[in-house]
Amino acid sequence: MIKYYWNLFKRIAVISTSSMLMYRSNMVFFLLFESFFLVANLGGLILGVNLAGGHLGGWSLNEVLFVASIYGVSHQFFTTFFMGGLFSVGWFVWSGRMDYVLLKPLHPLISQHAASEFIISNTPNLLINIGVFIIFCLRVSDDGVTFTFLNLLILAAFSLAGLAVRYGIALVVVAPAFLAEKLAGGEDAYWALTSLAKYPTGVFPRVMQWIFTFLLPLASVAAIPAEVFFGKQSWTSAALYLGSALLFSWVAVKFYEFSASRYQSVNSGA
Amino acid sequence: MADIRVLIRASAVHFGQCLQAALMYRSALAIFVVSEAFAYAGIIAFWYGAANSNPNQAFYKPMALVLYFCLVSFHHGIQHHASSRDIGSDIRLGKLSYSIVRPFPFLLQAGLRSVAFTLTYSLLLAPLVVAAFIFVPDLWTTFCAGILPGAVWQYPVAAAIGLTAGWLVRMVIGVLAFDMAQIWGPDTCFIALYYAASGSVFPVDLLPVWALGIVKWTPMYYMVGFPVLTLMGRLNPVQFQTEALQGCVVVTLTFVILALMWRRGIKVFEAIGI
Amino acid sequence: MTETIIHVKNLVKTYQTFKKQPGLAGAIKSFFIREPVAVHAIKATSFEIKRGEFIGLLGPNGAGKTTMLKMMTGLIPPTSGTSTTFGRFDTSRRPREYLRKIGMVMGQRNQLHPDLPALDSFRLSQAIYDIPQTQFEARLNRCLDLFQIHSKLNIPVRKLSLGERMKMELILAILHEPEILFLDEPTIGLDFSAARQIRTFLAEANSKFKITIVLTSHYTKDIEELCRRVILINHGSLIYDGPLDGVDERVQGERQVVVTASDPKSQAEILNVIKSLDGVTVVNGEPSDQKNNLPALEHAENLTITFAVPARLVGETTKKLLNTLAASDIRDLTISERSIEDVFSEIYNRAEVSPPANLNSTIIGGSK
Repeated sequence: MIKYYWNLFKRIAVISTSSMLMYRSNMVFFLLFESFFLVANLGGLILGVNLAGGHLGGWSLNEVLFVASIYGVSHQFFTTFFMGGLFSVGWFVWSGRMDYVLLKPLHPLISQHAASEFIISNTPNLLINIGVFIIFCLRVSDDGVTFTFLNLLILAAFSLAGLAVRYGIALVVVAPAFLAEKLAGGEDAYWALTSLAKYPTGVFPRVMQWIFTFLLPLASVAAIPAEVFFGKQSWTSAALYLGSALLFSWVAVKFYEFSASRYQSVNSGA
Repeated sequence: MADIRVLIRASAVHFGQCLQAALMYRSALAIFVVSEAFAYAGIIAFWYGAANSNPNQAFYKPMALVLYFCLVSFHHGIQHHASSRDIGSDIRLGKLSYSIVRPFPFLLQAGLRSVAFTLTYSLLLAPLVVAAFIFVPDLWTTFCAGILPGAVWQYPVAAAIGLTAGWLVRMVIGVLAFDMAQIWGPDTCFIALYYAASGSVFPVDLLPVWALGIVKWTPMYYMVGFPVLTLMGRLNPVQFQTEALQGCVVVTLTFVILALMWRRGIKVFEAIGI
Repeated sequence: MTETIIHVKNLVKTYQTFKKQPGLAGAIKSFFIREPVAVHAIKATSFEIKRGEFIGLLGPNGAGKTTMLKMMTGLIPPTSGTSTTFGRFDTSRRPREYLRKIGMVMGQRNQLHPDLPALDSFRLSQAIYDIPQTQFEARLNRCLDLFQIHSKLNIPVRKLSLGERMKMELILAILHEPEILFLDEPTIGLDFSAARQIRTFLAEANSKFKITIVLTSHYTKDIEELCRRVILINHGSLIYDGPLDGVDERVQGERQVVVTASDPKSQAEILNVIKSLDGVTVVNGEPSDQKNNLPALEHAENLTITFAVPARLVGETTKKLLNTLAASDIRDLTISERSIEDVFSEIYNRAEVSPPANLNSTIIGGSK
């Protein structure tokens, strides 16, 4: 089974890379896009924390930027490996190409990714954001934060749960494509919602903190991994947040499966 | 004269049909409105918290930031339409071929489509902004305290420059499809530049002077930042006039670029669909 | 006894759509209030398909053929009724084991990656269906030999012609050796030569690879050359299920006779003789023979007279005609079967005039 899925993954990666090499300019555009996006995100946060006098909601500037860097790595990982498949669901449903996807002997989500591509052009951005993350790791270590293998492992585990939340949010916004006549704007909803994940949760009012932790666990994407890493959360709370993140992702997958079972196809496609 | 009458009538019919198309997919509109409201609620919470943490700073009072982002959410929302990708796919998938053989200019159709979507989103988002003014304490008083008397004529000018800049920029990106198989690369670059320069994710006038100077030579500043700052009274009359003039120059340059790209593109157009 | 591979029982499909008034006012109104409309795409249909059969699923546009096909594949769930395959799979659930055994090609839709050569898509399919390398190569080479398109294997799909693309789509669909192949208008838009190659391929897939094939097509050549059995659907109801040649028999098979006269005087004489014969219809644009209730045929142009006569009367009618007229009156005489399009058109028209139950009693039965 592992070998089967590993072979499938390799095949998708080969196809994606082959396709990327046909459109070389996309790599340049992705790089430019990410550079300006990083400037906008980090610049906005720096301006905000400076306006607040250097500290915001108990977070220093370096800590805020550390959260943003975790967000950045998670964002790039999602963009590289999942965005191509998930954000083409609407088009596939509308054009009827989803017919072929659902007839493959695979889980509908895996089949969807197999029918789409990884955005290999984005890998330089993934590497850049990993570099930015390392830079902010060094900056917070200058502030006295210690790095051990264990707490890095915990950070990785919570960040993976955060990635699952991202995936879940994407599923929730694209799955209605099976139920509506035509769904446009699903990915815009994804970007609008997940953009809030780059802020430390403490800056929001308590009601919003609760929403972003349990109902729509955006905090699990970056803020909670950082809080656990900095030791700002108890183990009980951390376990609770981890559980809510995984539960949300599971519910999102089930919602997608339910929506796919309501697929009505089209009579003549584009 | 008869040709112009026919053109006006065709434009009106086409505009009406674009409005119909925009209104057809309610779920898409609902998702957009709800997610944008959610996102901006979060952004406002962040910036409100930032300003509140530092009572000593006078550049942006907390409520002024709330007002800023309320107005930004409206101006950002009405510019929201992937018209560049629509134009690109029309060029690549052969719809342009039909337009060329009809006496109804393709770019006029594209422009009308953008206007229709702007109008649709305006009608959807305006009630949300009004609701914010009604239910958020002190928002209306903050707005009234800041707005300048000249805003009555300044704001429409700023909005017109901003909307025109936005429509033209998207058309420029769209006509890249004459040379590129996929335009989503340049389109996403534009989105990133937009976020960096428009003032839609942070108050644009918080930027250092040198950065603001650069940003004011991009169409993105005029799409959101310029009309919002005008409405908030954060530009004195001299600043407004200077920036309005600058905006007109930017819009004119964008139009010239579009015209040149279009003329060149139509010559190499191979009328191939898939 | 050949096993039943597809069993459709009382399958019903009803769609919900909505009515929209034209114009901007209508668009604004339907933004707030929508009038739902139920579309009955398939009405309580039942049939069985045996392993190895080649079935034509036919009907006019909007009849429900594609809907029926998609319910059989499991793509869309039925409103009620069941579609079972291999005696155990409920297709509406799309079990993975079932999906491994089927393939589908839709003429109006592609599944090949447009930017890459077809071989890349074939390799992906190999990974999805877990096809061993030797089997994959053997099958692929066999298919390429059949189509003679080895040279196109490494060309990006979007650069291929429509015919070449469709051949690649078919190869992709059978690489994993499906037991059932569903085809939705696979020859649509293809030139004569490409369509013929595809028909040869499908005939071989059915006879040599023993694949059960269900085909929808509007091209009579596809049906005549490939399908031994046809299922006719109109307005969502099954109106005929049986052998192809049984269709003509059921519609009171008749022959078309074209007589070319030598001159106008001869033409008038021939016309009079034809009118006096029993069982004959239209002559030169005159109203159809109401007694036989047969449709009007094309009337004569120039010196040609065309008329229809029941097949059992062809010999007798022709003999009477030749005995009555002088040889010099007739320049040419041809007798042909009614085209299959005419036959189907007649069946569809009857199905619209009479409820399906009445039609079934005259059309269906006896030949299964």
